[in-house]
Amino acid sequence: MNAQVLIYSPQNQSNVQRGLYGTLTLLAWAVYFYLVLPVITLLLWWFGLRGSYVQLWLPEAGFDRTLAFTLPVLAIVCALVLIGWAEINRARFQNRERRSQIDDAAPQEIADALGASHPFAERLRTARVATLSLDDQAGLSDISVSSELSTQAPMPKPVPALT
Amino acid sequence: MTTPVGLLDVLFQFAFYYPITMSFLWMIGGLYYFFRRERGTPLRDDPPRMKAYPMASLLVPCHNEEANVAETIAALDAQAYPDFEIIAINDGSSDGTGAALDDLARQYPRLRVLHLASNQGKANALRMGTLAARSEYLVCVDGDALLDEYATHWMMWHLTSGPRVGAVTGNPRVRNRSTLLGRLQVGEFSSIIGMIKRAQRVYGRLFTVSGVICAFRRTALHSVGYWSDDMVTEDIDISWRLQIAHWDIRYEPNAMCFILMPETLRGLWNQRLRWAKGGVEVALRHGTDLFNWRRRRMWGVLAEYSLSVAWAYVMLFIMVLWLLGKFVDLPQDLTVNTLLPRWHGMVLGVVCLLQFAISLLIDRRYEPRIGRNFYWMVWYPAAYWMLALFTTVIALPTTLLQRRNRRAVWTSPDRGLR
Repeated sequence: MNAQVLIYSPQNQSNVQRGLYGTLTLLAWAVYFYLVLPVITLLLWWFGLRGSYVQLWLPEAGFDRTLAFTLPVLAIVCALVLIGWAEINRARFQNRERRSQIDDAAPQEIADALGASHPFAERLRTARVATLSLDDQAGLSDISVSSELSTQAPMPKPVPALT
Repeated sequence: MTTPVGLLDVLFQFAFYYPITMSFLWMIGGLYYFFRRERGTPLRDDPPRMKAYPMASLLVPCHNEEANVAETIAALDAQAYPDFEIIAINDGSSDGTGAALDDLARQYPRLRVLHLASNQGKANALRMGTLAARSEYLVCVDGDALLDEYATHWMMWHLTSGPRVGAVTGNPRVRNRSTLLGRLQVGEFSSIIGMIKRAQRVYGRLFTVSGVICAFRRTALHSVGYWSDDMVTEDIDISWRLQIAHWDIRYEPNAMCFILMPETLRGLWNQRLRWAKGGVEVALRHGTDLFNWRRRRMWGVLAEYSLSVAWAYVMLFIMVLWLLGKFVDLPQDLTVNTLLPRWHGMVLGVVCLLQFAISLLIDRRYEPRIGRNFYWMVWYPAAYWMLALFTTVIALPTTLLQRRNRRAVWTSPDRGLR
């Protein structure tokens, strides 16, 4: 049978309906488990799991029994905190820009911030190969542009975007 | 004589529960990130279309990279992105890097070369590259790394997707895998570093970008004063300053970059000590600035880092007590009978291996046969935790005592077997 003929769209139900059915089914499984518990007990006894219980769980085994409680609780708390935090942020900020756009820094501002004079910065932006000297404050104190490589082929033009 | 409230008990509980809690957070964060942002999305070689393709400037600071720079530039020139320039900054190299770059400039029309007359450090090399750049978008790659051909596209997609995206950190992949140390680091970058970055993105703030592959919006850098040249790890510093100034930093696992890592114990030790010192420096410089309600989203990053330092010292304290107990009669409450892990050690080991397993499952998407490295990861819990512990313990006092405001310059690292 072609899988496309099957109709599987649980998302078309309301969340309440889905959650309710899911929970009721889980409860039904709990009842079912209660009914077959004697069989499971028999199997555990048969496969020697009682021996494991004695070795691991009884006080003389030296195993820290609180770990069996604290570790699952710790894992659940970590999951609730981290995922809860992420989902709250997702709900609040997804596709919403809280902060205003900042204009791009102008070349002159960049040159000032990086300790370069405007003429040096302009020469540097257009240079193909250059040697730079920096002063004690790491500002650009001198620039020497290679005359040989500046005559090489210009930058390739942008190519079409990926298809 | 008894110590107040069973001091050793508290320390042991912290020594045990801190790594377990962090591991749970990383696993949960990694899985959440995977299911929310990775599963079902386009693969690495099918990056999303963009409304426009603005020019990108690829900055490559190089110091003594004669052996590596040709393949680095070749990989950059092969980027599957419409419009970009490459700016290599030769930072006072004493080998043939300068001549090699001049030769490469004749071969690759997109390549521009800046020679710094003397060694000025990576931060200043990047600052000069920024000054020379013709684009608002800067992709910074180390001179010995190979950038995947789609990486620029993925990072540019993030940078152009919102006006407050200040940086995008890529996915470093260890290239050299010949030795045990190399293979351990393959797993480490996958399971520790990749997973932590995913979990931190879920939380909302990153401890650091990967300096070896990161893209920046130049205006964001401008607003925070660019890279600091007196920090041992300029990448941690710039990450904190950008986020303190409310710039968003993204993680893009598809932006892969293949890097060389140390494969000798000395090389590994030096590298990790430098990283540890960098973390201490940044926490000392910016930690107090964070006690401000507007910067509250960085509190988690600071808390995670501070607890990791505290854990290292607690472990050291426990070891010292154990050693002292061999020579001196200690009070009952301070007696450590053995350092050998028992049931608690078993639980830590199992959780650690579970973390590796989950991360390698997530990482298969980027490297199909990554799972084979799981075999070697058995060493990680003991050997690498010890490495992290001792580098942290040494980094804190040495950083506190070192001379301030000294310019950080290059030292060529161990790059493994080639």
